[in-house]
Amino acid sequence: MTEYKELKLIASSSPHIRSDEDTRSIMLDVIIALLPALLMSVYRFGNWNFRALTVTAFSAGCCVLWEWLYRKLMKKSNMIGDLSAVVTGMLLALVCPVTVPYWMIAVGSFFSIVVVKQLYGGIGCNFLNPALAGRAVLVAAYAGPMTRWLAPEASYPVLGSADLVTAATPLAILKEGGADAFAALTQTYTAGDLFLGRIGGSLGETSALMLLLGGAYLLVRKVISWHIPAAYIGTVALVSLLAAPAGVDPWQYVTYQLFAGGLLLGAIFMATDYATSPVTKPGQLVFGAGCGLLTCFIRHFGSYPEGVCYSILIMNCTTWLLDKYIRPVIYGAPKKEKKEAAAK
Amino acid sequence: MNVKKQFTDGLLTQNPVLVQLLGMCSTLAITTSVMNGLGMGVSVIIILTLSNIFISLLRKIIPNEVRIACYIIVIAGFVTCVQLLLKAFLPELDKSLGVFIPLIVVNCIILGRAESFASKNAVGASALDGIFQGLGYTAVLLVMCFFRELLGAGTLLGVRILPESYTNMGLMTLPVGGFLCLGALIAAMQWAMNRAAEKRAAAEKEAK
Amino acid sequence: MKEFTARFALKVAGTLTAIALAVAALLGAVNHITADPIAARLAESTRVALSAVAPAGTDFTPLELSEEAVAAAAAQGGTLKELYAMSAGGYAVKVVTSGSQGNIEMIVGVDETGAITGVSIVDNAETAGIGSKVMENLPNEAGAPVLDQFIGLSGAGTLAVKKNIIPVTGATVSTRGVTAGANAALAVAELLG
Repeated sequence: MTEYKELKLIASSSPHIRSDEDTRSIMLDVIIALLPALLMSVYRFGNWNFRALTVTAFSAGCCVLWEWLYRKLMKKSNMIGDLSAVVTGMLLALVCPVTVPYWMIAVGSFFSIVVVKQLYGGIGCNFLNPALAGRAVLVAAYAGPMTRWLAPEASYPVLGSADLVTAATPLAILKEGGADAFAALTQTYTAGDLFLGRIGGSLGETSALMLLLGGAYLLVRKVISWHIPAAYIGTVALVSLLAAPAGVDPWQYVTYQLFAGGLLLGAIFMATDYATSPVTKPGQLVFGAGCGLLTCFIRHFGSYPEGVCYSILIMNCTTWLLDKYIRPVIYGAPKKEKKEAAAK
Repeated sequence: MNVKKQFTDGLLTQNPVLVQLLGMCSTLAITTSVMNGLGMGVSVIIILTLSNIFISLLRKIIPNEVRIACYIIVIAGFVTCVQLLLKAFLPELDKSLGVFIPLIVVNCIILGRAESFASKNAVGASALDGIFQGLGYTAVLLVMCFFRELLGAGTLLGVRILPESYTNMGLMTLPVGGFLCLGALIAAMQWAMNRAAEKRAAAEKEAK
Repeated sequence: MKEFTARFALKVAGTLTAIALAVAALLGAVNHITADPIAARLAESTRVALSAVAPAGTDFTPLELSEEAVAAAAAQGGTLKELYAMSAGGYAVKVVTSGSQGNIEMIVGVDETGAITGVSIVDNAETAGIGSKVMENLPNEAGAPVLDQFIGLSGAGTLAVKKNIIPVTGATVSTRGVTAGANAALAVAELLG
């Protein structure tokens, strides 16, 4: 860090706990947690045809390159060793279809790293999740290629392109609405398919099991806390339970709403991003619930089948507000004083 | 009358869009193709110049209490003329500019210049002000149109520029592309102006 | 603040009136020049859109919109805008429905047997590259031009995406908007007989 003049010392009240964690080790944990989902997608999309892997590696490489180039050109200290660009790159690839052209990934990663992350001051200063913002831009820019989903078990070459066997994503089938659509969905995909990733969808979102494994690892390593994912997933479950169409088993409906689409990927890996989510636990619960509500609204009323990406981006924009009004509690202060301190 | 200062004010230092931040709505909305930008730009130059001339001519007659009403009548009159002419002789352009031609009436650039310049200055200076401020607006429109049409459709003035294999970046022709483009332009303008100011300050320091 | 006198009021009102009159005179002059070309252009653009939905050489006679016709179109999810009787028999119906990004304005031709003779899009705001494919009559999921599949179909309310209408990949909502318009036009034609 060389930007000393902009460096503000922020000290919370004591006790201060010393931690050995630094950005690099946290990011390494996130990478490890993403590996199961990545492996599953390599297996599902093309039976060990390595397009999924090369796209992810390319994306991570692009992100690192853009970060390095930007900081070099702007004569700022280079911190690519902290691996945060690698994580952004992996996440960006995981929310794209496996058939995404490589140059598109290069465009998206430029937006993620240079526009969203570096122009706002680099790691920790961005107000949007870089990977999701990159995806949002790609979807707006190249809507066609970004919503062409390869059928699982179909093959797609590592280089170049080919005619592809497409599959509707579960949520796209649900979008037709009503009990008929749900019946069609349960016939097309079983709950086991959702769990093991035998469905159409973006690279990393398909297998619920692998995402939960990754999430469990992050929880055990204390990289993330349970608040945001639990509030997010819980809200979606509750709303789905109440909004299940007539003639459909509500619990089965909830299962599909939870495990189809990008909910788990978003709730575990995206909404929990430190820089773009609230600091306090109550704030995180509100943040997660907001994401959940917006996701349900977009899935239900919007013209897109899936709303995880936009929900998290919208809630990212409210983080400052949540941090402003839901203040950290000062440790050890009596209750009344705490309230007064918080009111200040 | 300082023509050179008026010129640099209109195009750069007091650019209506990038510095005064006026007329953003139409700037964001219509800059999807160079043809649109040209049409809108020329329309605004004509309307702005005419309204500046007339308001400057009438500036001693118009009572202060109803000046805004008078300005709006004059501006709305010219806008309607331009719209009728476009409808009659350039219907394609009229269709793609859509509601933004009638909305020139409430475009802050026109009313802003009437209030802050034409009502206080002589006819000649007001006419020049209209032309230069209009040119500044048009210049920004054209820069935005250039990027948005080239990247969003691969064409310029409808002629294919980029190879067929180029995948159109649909984002650029959507409103969101307008916001991104305008944001980048304003940022670049601020950067350039700050740099110029720093250089001037440094030069002054040395001179001392 | 000046004192409010009759003289002052007269001056303000007089100036405003004089300016308004001058502008009105200017507008009248411009309108005199442009009225004819504008009317000609409008008639021409309507004729082009109409002739796209009917066999060549058909004449169109504008009809009054009845309340029943408007209600029949609304029941199918379309807003009836204009109605023409075709010289070859049947009607050309201009309806507005909602697509994925905004309104879709289209003209649907229906012959005397109640079958669609053509669908032509007049105006839309669908997403470039997705919904726009429907508007430009590009191939649907089955590889056939998406708007042409409506030709020959009949029965208001029987047309439905994924039943007898095949959408363009990723543009189900846009296709659904056009289908609603076709249903509305059929309903209007059935009502008029």
